[in-house]
Amino acid sequence: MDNKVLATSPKLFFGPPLHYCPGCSHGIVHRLLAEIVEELEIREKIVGVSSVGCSARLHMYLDFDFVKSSHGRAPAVATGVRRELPKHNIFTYQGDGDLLSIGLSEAMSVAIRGENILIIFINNAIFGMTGGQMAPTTLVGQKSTTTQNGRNPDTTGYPLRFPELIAPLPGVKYLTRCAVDSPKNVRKTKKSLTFALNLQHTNPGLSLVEILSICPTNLHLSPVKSLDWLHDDLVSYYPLGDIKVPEEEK
Amino acid sequence: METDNNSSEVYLMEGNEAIAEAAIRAGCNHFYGYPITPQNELIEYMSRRMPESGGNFLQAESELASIHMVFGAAAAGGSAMTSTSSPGISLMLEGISHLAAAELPCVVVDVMRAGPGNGNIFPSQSDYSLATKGGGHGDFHNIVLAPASVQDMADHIVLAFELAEKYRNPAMILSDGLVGHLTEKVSFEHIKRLPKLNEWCARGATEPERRVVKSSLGLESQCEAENLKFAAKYEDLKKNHTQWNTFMVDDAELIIVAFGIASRICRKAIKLARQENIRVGLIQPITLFPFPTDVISEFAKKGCRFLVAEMNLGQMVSDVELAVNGAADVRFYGRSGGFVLSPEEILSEIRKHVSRTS
Amino acid sequence: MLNEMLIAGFGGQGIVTLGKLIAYAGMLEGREVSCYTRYGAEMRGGTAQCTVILSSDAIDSPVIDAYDTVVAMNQPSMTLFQNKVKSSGQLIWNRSLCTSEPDKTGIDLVGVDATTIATELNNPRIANMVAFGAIAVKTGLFSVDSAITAMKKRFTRMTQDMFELNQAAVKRGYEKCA
Ligand SMILES: Cc1ncc(C[n+]2csc(CCOP(=O)(O)OP(=O)(O)O)c2C)c(N)n1
Ligand code: SF4
Repeated sequence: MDNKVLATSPKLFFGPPLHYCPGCSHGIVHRLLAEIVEELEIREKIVGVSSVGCSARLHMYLDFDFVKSSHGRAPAVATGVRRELPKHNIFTYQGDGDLLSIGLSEAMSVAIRGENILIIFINNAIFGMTGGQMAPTTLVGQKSTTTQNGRNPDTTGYPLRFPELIAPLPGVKYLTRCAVDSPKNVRKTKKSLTFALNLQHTNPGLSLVEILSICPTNLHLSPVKSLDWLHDDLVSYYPLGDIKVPEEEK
Repeated sequence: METDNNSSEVYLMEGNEAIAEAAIRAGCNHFYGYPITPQNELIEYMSRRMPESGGNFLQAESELASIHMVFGAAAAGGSAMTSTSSPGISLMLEGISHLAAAELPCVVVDVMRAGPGNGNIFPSQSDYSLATKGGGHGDFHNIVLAPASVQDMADHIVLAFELAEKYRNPAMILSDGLVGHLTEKVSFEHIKRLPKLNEWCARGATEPERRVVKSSLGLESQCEAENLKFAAKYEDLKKNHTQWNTFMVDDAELIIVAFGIASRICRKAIKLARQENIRVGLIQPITLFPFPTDVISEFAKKGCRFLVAEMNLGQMVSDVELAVNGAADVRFYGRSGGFVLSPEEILSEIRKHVSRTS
Repeated sequence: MLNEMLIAGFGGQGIVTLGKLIAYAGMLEGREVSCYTRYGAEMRGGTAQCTVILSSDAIDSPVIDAYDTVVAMNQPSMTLFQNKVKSSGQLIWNRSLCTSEPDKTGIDLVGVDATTIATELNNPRIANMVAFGAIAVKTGLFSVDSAITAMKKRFTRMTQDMFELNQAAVKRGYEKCA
């Protein structure tokens, strides 16, 4: 029998093993980034900005340059990196707590400035690292350790669809929402990330790719059941697909 | 509440929970906080208990927001607190300074972890200098208390609210990840709802004279006068509320100075050393600001030597040296980076600094 | 009376739950208690260590260097912490998850097939409860009655079936060692 290699780990990927819980989506997105940077041959021309959350060790799994930001400030840090390196690909990788809770003003400000960076936004609708507290994207009625009877919009407001919020801003160029729940959607996510990185050269401005994800540990569901929750509950509030694409690129 | 004891009102709780329960019982009715390890149990407890007790709980979007929410609640007459751990305290400093300038009572809990930066989540006493020397920009001080047990967590938060209210000044509880995650017996029986005075608060102008709560202090002479007034408050605080514990100091030739959890670890080491006939004792500052300078100075004059033991690289040493004022030798032993001191470690350090008597 | 105990294992083995139950049972018997858990950096399984002290007097340091009793729920903890048992102290170890025997001498070695017994009860995750029963007998620090009362007080959100299963595990651990 011939030994045929069907799959390998991407060259720029230091995992596995990864430190994530079984079923966690972070690992999938990490791997996509390794593949993309390899395929686009941009290892010398890309700087990632990692944030604080479960993915704080992102830079340990990917073999290219990173700046590690403090909690929520990644867009501000990336702004500095961008100003120094005008021709590079620059991205941030942030969770919902990091981007939309503590970091909302930094996130809003790069959108207003139309900063030429890509925000990779992992929306698992919860604070993973600190043990499952409410995030700005936690669904109404969803239980978390700080909304133990379910999120109540009367006191905490409604979950935030951030791309829809910043879509009208002229400096914002590309907004899309993906998921990593099926092979098809993973491929779609990879395409969107690649598109966004290329756009930094052809049509500079802010891009944001929101990736619907699961945190089985804090959902207290098995990975498979968590994925069901993703299609049934998360997708119905956060519809998948493009929210904004530059005219010229359509 | 989760658990209780049949015999009397004694609970088995974590420090992080006990502090929250005691705060509510003492009348705290506003809590704002942002998740950070190792204090998450505190905000989670508040998220359950605050609404039950008719108070306000909100998970803020950041520590900057938490402390400013506390500012608003306190300015309007609420009894407000927040909690965080070291990286979050750095973010709160701006707000704490504004609270002090506006003379707003509030309590800030710091469940310290190792730093600087994100450091790690393990227990540390890394914010001693920040809390006692800085605590925000400008000419002011925080009142700083250092609990060493779960019961202390409950008792100190009440004392913190009391002092904050009396002096209209922020009070900080300098706890750490060990005490925060320590489970011990605790009783709340003695805790009474504290009185709250509201005549200076902005709660709607029912009188001809409206009230303005603000942190801007006016031109030079006015601002200086305000700062002098604050300084007078700290003098009064020092005179009336400096607190410390002593342990086996009467015949001691060596006195360990340690606060918070480090003081308990040192007690154990001292008992072990006493079995070897080493004459060693402990001074445990309970208030870190005001610092118990006088008692240390007294023992220095009697000829005692000192060993400062901390879970940091010597942040309290200069305060002990100032108290000693050259009259005695001051040595230091500490661990940093999230390492917890151990009794054996302290014991071997004690042995280095004493002569043996038989 | 003073017993300084360490419980160690993998994250997810219920080490913290066990530590707090022992503290609670100790409290029911009128003791001073302290229980300190060193948490790992993340939510994910790492090692878990819990120091439990039961004493007739006020407890000084909640962390210590050597233990009267070490409860090792897996191989790495057994290998590592057997050397932290005081002379004439006790090592209670989960034989089901250890591939080698302890080699420390001069201490009381108590092997318990905690995970195997729990698996017989159809739930390997309650090996900690089997250990709870074993600890009650082998240390004599608290009675099985106090153990069960502690469970009733702390497992308030548990279904009746699950509670009974936990209780059965404690009893099996107790009987094995009695
Ligand atoms: C100033 C500051 N505050 C709080 C924290 C604690 N903290 C670490 S990660 C995190 C939330 C992460 O949630 P999210 O961004 O959704 O990422 P996930 O862990 O779900 O991947 C928080 C609050 C911190 N590190 N620094
Ligand atoms: S806690 Fe959640 S987000 Fe963090 S690694 Fe585990 S599954 Fe992933």
